[in-house]
Amino acid sequence: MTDHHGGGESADDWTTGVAAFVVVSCPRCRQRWYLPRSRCPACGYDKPQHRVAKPDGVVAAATTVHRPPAPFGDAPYAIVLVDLVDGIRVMGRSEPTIRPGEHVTAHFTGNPLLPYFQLIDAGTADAHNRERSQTP
Amino acid sequence: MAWISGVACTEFGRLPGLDALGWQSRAALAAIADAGLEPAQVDGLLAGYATTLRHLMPADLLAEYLGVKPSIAFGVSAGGATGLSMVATAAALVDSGSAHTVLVVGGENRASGQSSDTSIETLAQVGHSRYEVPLGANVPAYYALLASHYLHSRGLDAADLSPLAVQMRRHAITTPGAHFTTPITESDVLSSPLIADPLRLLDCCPISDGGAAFVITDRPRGSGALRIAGVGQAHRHQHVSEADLENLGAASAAHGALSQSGWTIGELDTVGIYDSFTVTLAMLLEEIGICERGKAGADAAAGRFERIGTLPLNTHGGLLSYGHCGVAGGMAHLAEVSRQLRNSCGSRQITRPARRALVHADGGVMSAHVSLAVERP
Repeated sequence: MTDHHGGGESADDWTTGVAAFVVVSCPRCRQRWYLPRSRCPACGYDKPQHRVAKPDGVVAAATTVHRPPAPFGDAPYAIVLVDLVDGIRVMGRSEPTIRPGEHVTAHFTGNPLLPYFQLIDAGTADAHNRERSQTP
Repeated sequence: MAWISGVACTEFGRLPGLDALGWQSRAALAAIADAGLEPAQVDGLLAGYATTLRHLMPADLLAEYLGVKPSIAFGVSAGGATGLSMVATAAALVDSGSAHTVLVVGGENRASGQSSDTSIETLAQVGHSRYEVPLGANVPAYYALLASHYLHSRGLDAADLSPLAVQMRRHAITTPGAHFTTPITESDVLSSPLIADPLRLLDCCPISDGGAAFVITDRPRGSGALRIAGVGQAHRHQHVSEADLENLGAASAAHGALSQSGWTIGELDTVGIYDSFTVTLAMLLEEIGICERGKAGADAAAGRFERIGTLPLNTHGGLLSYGHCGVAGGMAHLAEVSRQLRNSCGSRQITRPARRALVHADGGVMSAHVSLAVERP
């Protein structure tokens, strides 16, 4: 998928059937965000930049839903909040055994397309820690 | 200066027979009578939304139903914080001279008027329609994520939240009108069905019918008027992925209200803190600074929040056991605190003299925060 540069309220991502998380950033003040806005929420600049985020990160919170909302019949399923290495916090599905603090990576699956996180190994986790500490 | 002159809170429960307007008018008329006033004296009316009554103009609708013709009337939506948000707004209206006698109302037949699936689906819309709801997330799931982070960050486990549910039930048992009054133990909480791990059924408030109302005035009316000594609010996010989980806005709102009143937390006699889930109560108690970090459950287990304790909390049983009928659920804490400050709770009266109280409500996923400091002069 090619990078997107500015304009419009949001780029294509998993919510429009494209297998990616998109991180939005402000070229003026460097703020980063995930939920779409047409202007930077920190400084108001109106030409945010969109790029595909690395799907790797650390779990901030995890739950397994046992009593789902009515249209979702496939309980139990797990939902996680993950801090991606690219500096945004995203929500996705995951394996039910995942816990806060674990290192995970997402793939995109299903119809409709949903992000699904699973554990990665310790070596990759160390690389992530170095990368996150360098994220500007 | 603004006064809470009229207070009313109905019984909460599964109580078919009234629709949303019926609950609102029952509470409204009771609050007006409690203030020693007549409906015709109401010159402002703020009405909270009701999910069973999807009306664009809930305040004008209720005004017409009651036969009042206020100069100011509008509907308010801030999730669970709506009730206190309306009281804060009413206080500002009377302080500014824009109105003199403002009726604040919430009421809904949330239990009887729709299936619980419908209620849960409707409320799930506080999540993001594109980035959260399609994952199968709903309100218990959002709060379970908060609980997951809360427990992990403090080195606690689910059992550390259950004393809060037990305390709320203990208060409800002796409160007339409470939805759930069967005694429970920590073991009962931990063996109740999982809703969204780590939250179990007894960690979650029920869905109830009911209503509540206040009359806010520019001078004391009736025989039990209480002074609004301070107001604070904070709105820092809507969606859970954008929340600063260690600084949600509760501290900012509560400290704003306390600083206006000139009180410290140690000078409070009783508190009413929003408790949609055990984790909500724990996070608010700790962020506001009523409890040390990680200690909310332990404080409950030690009896701090009992009627005979050092800081009686939600003495009506809270949302968790008195019940939750929507907007009025977030008003019941203030109604109970008002009764305690008026020394009118009889055998349920807290043992320490009740002069000063703090109430706090949140809406959404701990998104909207409103605090009030209230005093019996």
